[in-house]
Amino acid sequence: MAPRTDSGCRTPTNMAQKDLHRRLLHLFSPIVHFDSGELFFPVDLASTVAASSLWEVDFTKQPARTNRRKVAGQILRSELTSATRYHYTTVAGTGSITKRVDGKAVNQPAPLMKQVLQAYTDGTIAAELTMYGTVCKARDVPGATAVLGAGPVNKEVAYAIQEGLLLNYAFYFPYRNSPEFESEGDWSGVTLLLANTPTDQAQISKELNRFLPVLSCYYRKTVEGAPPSPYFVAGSDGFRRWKDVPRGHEASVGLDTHPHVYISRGRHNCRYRPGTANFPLSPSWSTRFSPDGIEDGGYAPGPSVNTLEGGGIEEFPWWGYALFPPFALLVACATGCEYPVQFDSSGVPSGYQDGEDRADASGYEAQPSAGGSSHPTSPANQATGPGAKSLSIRMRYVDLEDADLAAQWGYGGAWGGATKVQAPPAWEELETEVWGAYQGARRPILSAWFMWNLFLDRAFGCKGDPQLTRKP
Amino acid sequence: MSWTAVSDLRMTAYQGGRVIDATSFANHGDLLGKISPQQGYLGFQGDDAQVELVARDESLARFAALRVQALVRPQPITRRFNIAEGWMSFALVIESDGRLHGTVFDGHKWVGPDSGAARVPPNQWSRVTFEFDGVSIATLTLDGATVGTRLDMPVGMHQPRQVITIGHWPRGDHRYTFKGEIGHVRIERRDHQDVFMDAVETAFCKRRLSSAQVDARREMAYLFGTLSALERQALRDCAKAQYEEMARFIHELRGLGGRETVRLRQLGNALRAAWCCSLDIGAARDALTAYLRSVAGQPDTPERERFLDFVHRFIAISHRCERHGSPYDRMNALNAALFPELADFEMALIQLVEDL
Repeated sequence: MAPRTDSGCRTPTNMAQKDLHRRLLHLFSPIVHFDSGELFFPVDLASTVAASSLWEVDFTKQPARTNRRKVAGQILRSELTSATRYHYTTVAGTGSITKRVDGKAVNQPAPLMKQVLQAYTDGTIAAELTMYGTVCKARDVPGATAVLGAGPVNKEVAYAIQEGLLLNYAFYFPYRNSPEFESEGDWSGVTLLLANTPTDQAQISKELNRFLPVLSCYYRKTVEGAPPSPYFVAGSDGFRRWKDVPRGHEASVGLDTHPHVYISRGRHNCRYRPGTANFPLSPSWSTRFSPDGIEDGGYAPGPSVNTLEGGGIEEFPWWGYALFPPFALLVACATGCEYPVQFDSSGVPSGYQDGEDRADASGYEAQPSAGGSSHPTSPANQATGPGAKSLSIRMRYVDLEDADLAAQWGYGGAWGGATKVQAPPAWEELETEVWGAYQGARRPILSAWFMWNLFLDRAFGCKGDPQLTRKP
Repeated sequence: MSWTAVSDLRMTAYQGGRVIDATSFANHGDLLGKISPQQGYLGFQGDDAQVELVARDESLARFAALRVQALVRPQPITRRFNIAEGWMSFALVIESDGRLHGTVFDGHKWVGPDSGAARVPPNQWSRVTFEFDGVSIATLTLDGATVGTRLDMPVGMHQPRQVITIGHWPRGDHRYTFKGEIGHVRIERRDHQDVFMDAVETAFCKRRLSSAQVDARREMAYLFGTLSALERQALRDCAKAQYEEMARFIHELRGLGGRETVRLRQLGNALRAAWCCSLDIGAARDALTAYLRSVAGQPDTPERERFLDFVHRFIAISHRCERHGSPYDRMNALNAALFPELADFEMALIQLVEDL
């Protein structure tokens, strides 16, 4: 049974189909590059759970209070499955920031980076570098219909959404650290849209060209707090045609099938090429927003008119109409249809300052493999000597028939104890603009993010197909 | 769309340390701290300056949707300025960089749009508005122009606890205050009653009633008068629950994305135009069936199953408050005579689903 939010991504019950999914994921698994200054690398969830304690936040208290439900190493599978959004795991616990604001002490939760790093450096957590792969039927992913109805969609892409598969590769990092955002736990990933759905292994061997991806999506994140937090955005430049994606060779099929993914330092945004860029934290949707079919304006706030005309109907109690079932049609209309919809230029929240996002090509390179390296800061890895930059990263198929993995994948709480968002100095009064919350990273539903981003790209970003082919 | 103003502080009438609310709810504001009442506005001078509206009764505890409008003239913005905040419910603030930010509390965190690149200018009057439909859409306007939108707001609202505070955060320290002047503030709510009244307005649509409808209306009014207080209260509660269920239903429908939201709105406009303007029930039904067919998917697909699930849920919600027996059977018959087109609509809907 797939987690409720992974619509279209169930594990096939048929073993041959499951093997087919596995093979596709291995065939297109990315080669992952990390910046030379990176401290944290994607790890397996099992070692994270084994080293974590489980906490629950009680938001009914002012200020919110946290209660430890399980000490480290004792979280049961059933407890992961039944966890709510108010639960979080942490390998380090949660610290607090005490500041004086207007003469008063204010305590705020804060993640503990040093402690998390220490746990991976001293061998307390024996992690294996891991990426998690899921396969989804594209047309069953929420939002697929909306994408196809959202205006001009490239024919290949439209066909692939109807007939193809989404391959999602997700990375879980123990920590995210950047000038504006810190969090224990951080998710990241890429998605590939395959042109078609193979029915058996032979098809892949014989007709691979029919099934190659048509589109890739490299996600980056904003610090917007909407669930799942943070936003995973592609922006107008996050989508790449497969032909434009730099790739590594796969000897078994004689083709370049492994996309390169460059992970930015600290923030873990995914990029298709290395470099340093003034990377917007907010989505870079083109502002060529088309009002056609979206917005007709004319809305201005003002005093409402609440006068019923026609005479005499005021003698009816309003609730009397609830008796009459077809009247609900008008209630539905009054609730949902009439509301004036207006969009800003992007259609999504914005307003955060840009940051410098660095993804260095001379850092680490992790080749997909059946087994992953240990965490690069760990004693085991350090033993190989300085300069060991070649890593391997395990591609783990999310087989939901595996009870442990299903529990980890379906865990509804946050991975990591606390989040600290820090405004850039330009926002002034820096010390009063630091705030934190118990809302670590939640597993991103990449397939849904893919559709949502593609929908926004179609609906707001461009006419025709310029964004998909444009060279950045 | 109908709104009910629950506090209308024009800053022109003051009495005994209070600014007088012009609505019948008498939600006057207590002037606290270093604050100077002027004709048409209040000067916020000290960090403790604030206006507090105490939630004494149901009038400030029935927010299913919210609209806050204010005239503000902030001094140079050096920190977050609070315009209005319902404790643990909603907030309209100017962030330290001048962005306007409207949020509601979802029980976990504060969610809402900000104005992005648009900034509230210091030292001049601006009219700001934060509006949340209680379903999924929130907008911010600055001098009448939309400057921020969120389509993924959490459904429903938490009611303000104890107070709504203007120019300060509720009963907190002096981190979030306001420096400058605040003029006319109007706080409005939209609840299930407003929604029903809107629906009634659409249903009658200023039409001249036939003599049969006039008779039906008269008899209905009489029958309502025969209901016990308990029965009346049960129906009121049911209508509220029906609205809340409908809001959740529409929230889910809109979850498909912005385009679906727009399509729903277009459908609403088409229905209303057909209903109110042309009196052409056929056109309205065509608009509805065309929409439904466009979202119904193909037979034996998950899309079709989802669609049917939605339709069946809609019909179930519609029938939530249906009653039978005396005098309800007679009331149902009279309602059908009063709104024959609506009965026709539901038949069309059921027929369409059966045809699919």
